[in-house]
Amino acid sequence: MRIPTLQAARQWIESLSQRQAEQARLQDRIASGLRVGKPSDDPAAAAAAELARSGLRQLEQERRAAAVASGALEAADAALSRGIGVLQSVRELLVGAGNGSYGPAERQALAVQLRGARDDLLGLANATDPTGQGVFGPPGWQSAPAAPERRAGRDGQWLASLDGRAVFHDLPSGNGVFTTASAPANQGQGWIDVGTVVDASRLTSHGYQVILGGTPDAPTYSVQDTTTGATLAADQPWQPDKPLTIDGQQVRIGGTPAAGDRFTLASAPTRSVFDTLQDAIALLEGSPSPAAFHQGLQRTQAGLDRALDAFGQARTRAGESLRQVGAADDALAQGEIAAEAHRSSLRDLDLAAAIGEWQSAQTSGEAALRTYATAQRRSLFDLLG
Amino acid sequence: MADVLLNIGSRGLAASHAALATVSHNVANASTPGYSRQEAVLASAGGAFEGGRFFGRGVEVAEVRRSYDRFLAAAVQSAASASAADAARADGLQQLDALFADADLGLGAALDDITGAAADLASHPADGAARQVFLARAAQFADRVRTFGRQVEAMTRQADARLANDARSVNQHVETVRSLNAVIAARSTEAAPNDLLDARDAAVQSLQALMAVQVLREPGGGYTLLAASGQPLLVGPRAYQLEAAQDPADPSRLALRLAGDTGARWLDAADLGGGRLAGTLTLRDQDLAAAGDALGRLAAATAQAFNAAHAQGVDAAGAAGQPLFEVPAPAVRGHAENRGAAAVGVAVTDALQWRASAYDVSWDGTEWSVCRLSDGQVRTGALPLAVDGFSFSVAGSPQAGDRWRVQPFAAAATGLAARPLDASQVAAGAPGAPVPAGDNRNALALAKVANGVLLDGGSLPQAWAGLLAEVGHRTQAAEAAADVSRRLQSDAQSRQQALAGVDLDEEAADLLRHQQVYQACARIVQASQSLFEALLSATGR
Repeated sequence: MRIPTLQAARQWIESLSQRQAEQARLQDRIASGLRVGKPSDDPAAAAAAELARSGLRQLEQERRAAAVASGALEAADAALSRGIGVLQSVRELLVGAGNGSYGPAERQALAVQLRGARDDLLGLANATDPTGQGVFGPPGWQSAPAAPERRAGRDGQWLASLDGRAVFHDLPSGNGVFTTASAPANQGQGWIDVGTVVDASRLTSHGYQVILGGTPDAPTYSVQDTTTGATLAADQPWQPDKPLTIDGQQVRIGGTPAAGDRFTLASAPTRSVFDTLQDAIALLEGSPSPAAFHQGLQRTQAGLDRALDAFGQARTRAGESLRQVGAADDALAQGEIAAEAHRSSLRDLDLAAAIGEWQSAQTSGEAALRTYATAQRRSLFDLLG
Repeated sequence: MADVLLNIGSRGLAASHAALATVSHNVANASTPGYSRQEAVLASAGGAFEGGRFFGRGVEVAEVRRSYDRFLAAAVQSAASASAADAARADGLQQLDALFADADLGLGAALDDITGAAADLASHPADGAARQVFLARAAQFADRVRTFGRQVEAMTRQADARLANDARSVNQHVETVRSLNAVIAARSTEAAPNDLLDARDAAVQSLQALMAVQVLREPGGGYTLLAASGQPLLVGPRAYQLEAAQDPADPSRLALRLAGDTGARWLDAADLGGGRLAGTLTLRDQDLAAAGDALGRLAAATAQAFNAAHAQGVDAAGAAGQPLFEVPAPAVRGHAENRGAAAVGVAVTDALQWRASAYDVSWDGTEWSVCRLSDGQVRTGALPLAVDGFSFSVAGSPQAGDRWRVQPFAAAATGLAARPLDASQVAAGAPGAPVPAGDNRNALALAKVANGVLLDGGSLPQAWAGLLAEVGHRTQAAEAAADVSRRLQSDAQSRQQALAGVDLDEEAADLLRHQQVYQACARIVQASQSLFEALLSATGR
């Protein structure tokens, strides 16, 4: 087969330009470090690398959300622990106030301390996390009817704020189930205790009235269900501090009540810790009768106990959630490393192999150049005279 | 007797001279592309009957023959046609491929940014800055979609410009062949005008690179040119014009129209058969259209999903969320030759079933057909008809043969916009939240939108990755095809050149040979001269 001059030159130029294109491509790859730079380099790997990149972004995002959640929960834990300390110190002070030796001056001083404690708790209710958001609810939660917990994470799996109303406001009063009170028109010096639940299966939510009667020598009591109007007990013998059991609820009336004095039992409404503290302050600053003082003191102490319960529960909850977030964050960190490695395996160039390939391409390119230079230099015309 | 010698000698000189001239012509044109090697074919001048014997009368140049085989030439031309088509398509696809090269500038990254901003919003729902960032990321997504859409649109415009240019070049080449036909026909009665024939073949070769033509040889020596599907381009003295005019089905782009005796005819890539025009048409109508539709579909699906999720929530003031994105409506264009008075409408019914395609709706007099252009599938029936998540309807009375082009997604790729919302209008909270500004439940929902099942049974990031893979596959396939056809072209050229190419060494050898014959014939003339002188000296005084 003849290889005419022009064709020989064409073929050589074509193969030279192909080599050069190949070298340029290899150089490009080495410079970028990527085996798959454009989708056409490896379409399936390009698609998989894109999904890996997206997954990596999502993991980073989850870790950010986890960081926000754990910051909020830590702030909540700190606020609650301080709150528990404040409440416990107030509780102790009130126990001391029950000591009969306190006079008006001491009570006034105590009231000032309680005011300080109340302000502390108000401040804690507005505690914020490192991002500046309220730990116990969004701004204005105190006047809203509810403060739903804020959740973070892609499926809302982590707690990022606590329900402030459940911790500070919607606290059960009394013993948590029912409250007791003396009627204001009572003439005597009797008082009724906070009461306990002895048989929860017999509880109703009805209101009850205990009416004392009889004579100072043979006092009696009657029990009326004020909701249904039924009389449960009539003119039973009574003595101070005798336990009276009414539909599963047990109360004691002590002191020296007069005949005709009434004492009521009712379902426990909710009362905020601030109101409880306010009650204590009013009790200390006012001048109630000893009986009323004793009763009021018991009420406030019960209220503080409920508040301590709520704070403790919230703190446990925050702690548990914090542990959960921490464990999830560790798993996410591992996931990030794995995703990065996966993406790299799809996209990145094996640098050693690529450099070797490039060098051999260079060598063969040089060889082709030299052979052309030698072969094409001579033609018959050079040799003819 | 001496004059016989002189005659033979001078004839020999003339013949050798002619052969030398031919060899020189070859040498001079050794690097001329399209040149076919010429050879002076020498033949004996026959014999004269003299004195009872035949005596030879020397040599003459029978013809100057062109080394040409029309089958080899035809093979080179058709290989060049295929190679030009594949190269045009591969070049265009490489440009498209480069558009999708940087992962951090892609739609997948922009989508991740929106999701990230929504998740950050869920972490800080009361923070105005977080809301602002969310809106900014939505705007950035819309910007990026428009960038991609406009780049694809620009490539389509470039393709249209190339069509117009190449159509003009086709006409010029056909005109060249026509004028050469005339000249060759005039000269062919005497001898083959080799260089004119080479020039005409070169013109046909250039034409083949633009569109595949069938070449028929007329008895008079002229060429008749037909398009691959049989339409005449050049018949005798009559040349038919090819032009790029507004496509009647879609006024925003060009189509090729070939003039004819019975009216103009629109040519598509199959009619062209090959050449750069066919490659450009395939690139524009299949590859770029598919890319534009896929981008538009992704944009429209994203916008729709986010708008729906946003509407489920309440903003900082407690009002329901307004749409985040403005999506252009599907475009419906009636064919320019429609004669009826009907209008086709299209409405979205179910985004989950969307396919990345445009549609042709046509009425044949008895029933409607909706053809999906990406794969050619047709659904027939009565309108309103639900196809691929759209409902096609008609108002008015059409005539048989009327057709409409429906492009649901082309405008979305170039026209998606984020609505100008205020930071307080971001609907991060769930309805019924006691403090709407601090609730984050809808923000959590917004962060999950992109990963829901939305397109082709997968999520938005999966649809984007699928688009990347599709572009990559097409480009790889086109590059491979271009590579193969380039090799075939090179191969065909080698074979043709093996016959018709000039080998300088061969010409040098011929030069030497003819020089020697020339010198020898000069000696014959010298010999006849000395014979004559001998005769003169013998007879004269």
